[in-house]
Amino acid sequence: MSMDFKEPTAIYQQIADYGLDQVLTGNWSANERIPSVRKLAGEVGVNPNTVMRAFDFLDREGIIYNERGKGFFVSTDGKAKAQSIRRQQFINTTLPQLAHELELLDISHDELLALLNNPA
Amino acid sequence: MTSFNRFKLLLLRTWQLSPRWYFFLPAVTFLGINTFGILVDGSDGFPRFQDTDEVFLSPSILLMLFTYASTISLTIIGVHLVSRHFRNDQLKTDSLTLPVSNKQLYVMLLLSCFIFLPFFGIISNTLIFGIVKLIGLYGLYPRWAWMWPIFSIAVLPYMMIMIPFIAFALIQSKQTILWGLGVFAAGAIIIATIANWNPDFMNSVNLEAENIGQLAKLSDDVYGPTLGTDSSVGISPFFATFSNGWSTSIFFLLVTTGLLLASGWFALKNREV
Amino acid sequence: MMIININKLSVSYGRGEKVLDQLDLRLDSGSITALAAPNGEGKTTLLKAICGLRFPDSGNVNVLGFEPGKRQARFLEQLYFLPAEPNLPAWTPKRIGTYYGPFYPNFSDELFQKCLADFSVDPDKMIGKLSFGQQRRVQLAFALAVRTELLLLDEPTLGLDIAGKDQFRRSLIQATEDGQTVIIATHQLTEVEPVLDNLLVLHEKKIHSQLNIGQAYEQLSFTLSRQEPKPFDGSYGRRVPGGWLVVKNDYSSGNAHPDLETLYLALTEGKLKLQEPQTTL
Repeated sequence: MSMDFKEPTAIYQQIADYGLDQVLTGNWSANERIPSVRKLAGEVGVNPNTVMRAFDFLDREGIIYNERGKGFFVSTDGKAKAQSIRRQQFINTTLPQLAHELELLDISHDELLALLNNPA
Repeated sequence: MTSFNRFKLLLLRTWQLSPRWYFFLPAVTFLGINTFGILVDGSDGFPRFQDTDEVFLSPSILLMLFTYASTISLTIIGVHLVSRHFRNDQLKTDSLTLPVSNKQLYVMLLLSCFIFLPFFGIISNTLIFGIVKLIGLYGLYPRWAWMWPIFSIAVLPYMMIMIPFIAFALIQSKQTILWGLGVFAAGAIIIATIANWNPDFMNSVNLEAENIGQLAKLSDDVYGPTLGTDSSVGISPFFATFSNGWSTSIFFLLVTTGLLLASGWFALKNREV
Repeated sequence: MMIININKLSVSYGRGEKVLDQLDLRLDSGSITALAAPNGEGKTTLLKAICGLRFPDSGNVNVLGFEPGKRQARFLEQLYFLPAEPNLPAWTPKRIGTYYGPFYPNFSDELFQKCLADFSVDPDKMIGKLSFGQQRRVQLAFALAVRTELLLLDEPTLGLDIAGKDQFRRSLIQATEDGQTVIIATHQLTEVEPVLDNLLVLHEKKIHSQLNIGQAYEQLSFTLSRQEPKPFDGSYGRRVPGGWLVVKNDYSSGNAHPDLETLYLALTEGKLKLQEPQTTL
């Protein structure tokens, strides 16, 4: 029986996550060119194919697009799409994990709300 | 890259691969050998025995000394080169993965032995000549003259043993050990053939009459027979032949060089780490 | 393009047991591959056979279209082998670049200077006065700057501090932009995992597994289990503080971080089998 809710985070997923973060925070803004695969790979010290895989994922999800010969750019609706992916992740992964923790620690929903409003 | 630059690099690499004492060893050896010859001063600049007026260190004898010194130096350097550069995995790796062909690498290693050696040898010998002359002014007695014959019997076997030793140390792979043996045997046979069956040939190319046998005789005359040497010809006809001046010197140098060349070449061609 | 093609290579030391026995290996160019093996199983021997420092007892070795044992200069200038403990002369790094660099046609002094700067090594300080880790940094900087087709690194991260290991990964990626082939023999798989394409496992005198790590992770599941897994064919459980990290070849996604060291153990200690990736000719 597996009890751990830790998300599997392969390196390419970590990079994809980083990309999502950059788009969400606006560091990479719409229609702006993002760092090249080579540059990012060299900067992080990760195999370029791994970075390419992450970019492929972001491309498939419509967050970035490839302009032949120029590189990758953030889609116009990239931020909205990134947000929806993150929301899905939150609902699918973080929430059940939170619910599980709340149950284990016997924290009521009211108590949680109060804590969220007045963080310790 | 031009070939000159490449040569420059190889030379530098040679210098870098060789410990500094390689280049001073010949000088030290000369010093050691010539110390025996600190005798007396002659009017023509060559040291002489005081009571006989015979030239003790004639040019041919000096050349022979030079050969002996070279041989000893080469042998020591060769053995050291083997133990240091070829027995040490790291250095071997370093030398053998450098993009240099076997030929170039081999030339490079030989340079370690040859390039700086005569240079320092000549400088040191000139120096020692001066010292000999200076000491000669004070008229020191030739009390070491009897060492010459011993030296002559010591050097040849020494060479005979040490050269194949270098060869064997260099050659570690099975196939090439036979080659090394072959080369050594061939060299030995050539020497023996020429020396024992045709001593006239050796004498005919001899440019000067000076030889160690005569020195031994002189020594015996002064001190009486030492160590059972035959006062007429030195130690034995075989060694006496070899103690002749120029021809022997050149011959020894050729044989030494040849053996080193051959064994080194086979060794490099088949070397692994 | 195939860069290494080894057929039935056997190597032994002296009269002793064979270190490599009938080993086959084909490796395509342009990838970064880790070569892992249990202690004393001939990682270095294989590297030496590839760069012409060991001759095969039998079998064929073809690297870059050359027979390494012949040690032709034209072959040697296309590869660089960095041993675990190399012997560089007691010069300054700058001088090493000046005199060793020209032996390699693609050597870039600019890249060497950059790598040295990235590794925070003073190019004018005598190597003998540098610490072990600093010397390793110089060696790595030079190995990367020669930009040879094939780069063989034997335990490159040996002696490096944490910053040095980080920088090594960055420099390696930056220096191999032209698609050089790199083989890294190491026990420290975790340290080099981010830069890798392939894993090569040498075990029982042969290439036991050759796999693309990305593909392997898609086939495999890594699951942290609180209970000891029942041994069944192909799965492997590694005891970790949180329980057992179980590797299975079941195309599902597990709950744990894929981990190259665990995969390596599953391949060598366990009985995990993976299909070898097709090599393209």
